[in-house]
Amino acid sequence: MTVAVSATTLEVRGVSMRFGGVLAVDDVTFAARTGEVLGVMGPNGAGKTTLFNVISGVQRPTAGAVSLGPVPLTGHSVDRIASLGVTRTFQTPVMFWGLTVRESIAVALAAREFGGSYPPPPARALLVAGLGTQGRRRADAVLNERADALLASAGLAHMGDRATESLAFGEERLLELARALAVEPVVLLLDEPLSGLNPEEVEDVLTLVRAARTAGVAVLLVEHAVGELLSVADRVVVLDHGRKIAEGTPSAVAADPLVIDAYIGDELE
Amino acid sequence: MSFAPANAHGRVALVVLAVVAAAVWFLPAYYTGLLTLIGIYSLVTIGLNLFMGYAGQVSLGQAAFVGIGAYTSAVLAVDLHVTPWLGAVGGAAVAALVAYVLSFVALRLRENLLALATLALGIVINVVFNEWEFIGGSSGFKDIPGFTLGAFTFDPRAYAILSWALVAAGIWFAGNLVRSSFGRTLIAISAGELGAQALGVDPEKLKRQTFVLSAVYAGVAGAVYASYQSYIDPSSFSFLLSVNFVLMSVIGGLRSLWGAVIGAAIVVALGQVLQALVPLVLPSARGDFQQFFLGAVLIAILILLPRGLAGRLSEARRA
Ligand SMILES: Nc1ncnc2c1ncn2[C@@H]1O[C@H](COP(=O)(O)OP(=O)(O)OP(=O)(O)O)[C@@H](O)[C@H]1O
Ligand SMILES: [Mg+2]
Repeated sequence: MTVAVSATTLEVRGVSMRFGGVLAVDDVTFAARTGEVLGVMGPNGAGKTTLFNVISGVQRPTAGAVSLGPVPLTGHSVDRIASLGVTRTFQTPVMFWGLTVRESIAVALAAREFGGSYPPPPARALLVAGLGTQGRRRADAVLNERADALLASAGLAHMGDRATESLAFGEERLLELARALAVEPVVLLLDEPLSGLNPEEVEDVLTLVRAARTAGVAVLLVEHAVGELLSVADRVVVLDHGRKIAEGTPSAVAADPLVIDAYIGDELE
Repeated sequence: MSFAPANAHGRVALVVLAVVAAAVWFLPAYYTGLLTLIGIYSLVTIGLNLFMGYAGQVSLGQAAFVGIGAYTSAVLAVDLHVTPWLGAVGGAAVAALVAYVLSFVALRLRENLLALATLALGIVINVVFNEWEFIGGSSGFKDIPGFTLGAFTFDPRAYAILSWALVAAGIWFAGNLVRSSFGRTLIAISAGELGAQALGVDPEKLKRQTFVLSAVYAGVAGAVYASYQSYIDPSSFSFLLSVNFVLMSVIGGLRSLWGAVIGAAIVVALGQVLQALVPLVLPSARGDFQQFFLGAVLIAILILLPRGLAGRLSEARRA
């Protein structure tokens, strides 16, 4: 990472998303900086997932725009946005059934190998793979090794050979996170990465999130576990009914009467 | 550049090829003919399995690509005196080009709609075969030159060996592909397209490349078919043949390359059995009835073995 720490990287400007009569996201503006964990809080239905869908290109906003540094993201496909450096996990983990844990990571690494976008032109991917050229086989062996190294650094070394079908829910979350980290994102969107995890797995995820921050990733973290969120986040944005009602340090946000009113009142009691 | 000498698929394929090459000297002509047909259909189905089994898509139009390969090679041979060897290359290229263009329409669609779109495209292409007088219209092409090697013009035995040599090459290539990062990425998009996209995988491009590859397999098969039969007409590449390719894929087991061969063998054999049996049971029955029975057998297999025969075999091996 050559970008200066705390430079603005992801900018969300005046984003709105309307579904029929529901304004799921209402004129939201904020920025995320490199090397920070930006918590995104809000009660159920506040628009957090929709906001992530808009940033990652799953949905196109009805108004507003998202950009990464000088590069506009709005209007691009999910894979294009990913290749520009913004990747995400899902509220329900998406597994690649049919692959092992190691192979799942290797898929991410292969995408990265070709400049963050896969596949490259057929002559560089399909033909060399089908002919089994030595270069391709060696490159694939290297991808496997790197996948193992990545799994080891995520504390998942023992899982490499397991079929993704056999994973428990918490293991799925950890794999999905490791897979997202494998593409070396600039911005990482995590949608409730702690839900459904046991305390040990929660610690594993938080450790990975902190490591990503140290590496300069801007991590956007949606989480209902308020205690954990406030402990790991550098700043917090709070949504309610699609609108941004607060933004600031965890302690400032936790003390904000608007926020307490809207959301964490009972939990702080 | 050095290639993988043989993956497991390729090694088995070489053994099978050797068995075929030996067997044709003993088999009655009828069985040699069936073997050739199974080889040609296997080639199509291996390509289709990449698209259906690995990429998780569906194509009900593969017969059209077989037809395009056959017609291209026939036109090149009859009108331009191009050797069928080059005709097969040309047939594959034209099939690939058509698949490439069609993919911009078809691959935007999903599942049932993709099935319908490929079905429709197959039918439209068949109409073109029927109406285009330059390629013989409904009466088709006659006297298509055979493959030659020096002074030797291929006989039925040579066609059996040729078709199985192509199966060996096709299964070797596909075997390399599915083990590579390309094949893994196909599996990833079929399992979780959005998840793969979030990593930077462009599913449409990946599906397009695989669809075009499946058309190459079909195009080569078609070119061999044209020279082997020496006669083609539009009815050789009808929608029913496309359905049969899907049957072969599913019966054999979708995410299995040898399943494609097993499926092709079963459907061809079953077709022969039904052709012999149905008239005994239902004297007034016509060809459509065989398709009907084939469909019934498919449904039975799908209910009993949802992952196809190859799936059942690999389960048995693991147990
Ligand atoms: N595709 C859609 N079509 C229609 N309405 C939608 C759609 N997606 C979300 N919504 C609505 O938008 C609002 C925000 O939903 P969203 O999933 O973004 O909330 P959230 O903050 O992620 O909630 P949770 O904490 O429960 O995950 C909700 O009222 C939801 O019903
Ligand atoms: Mg949500």
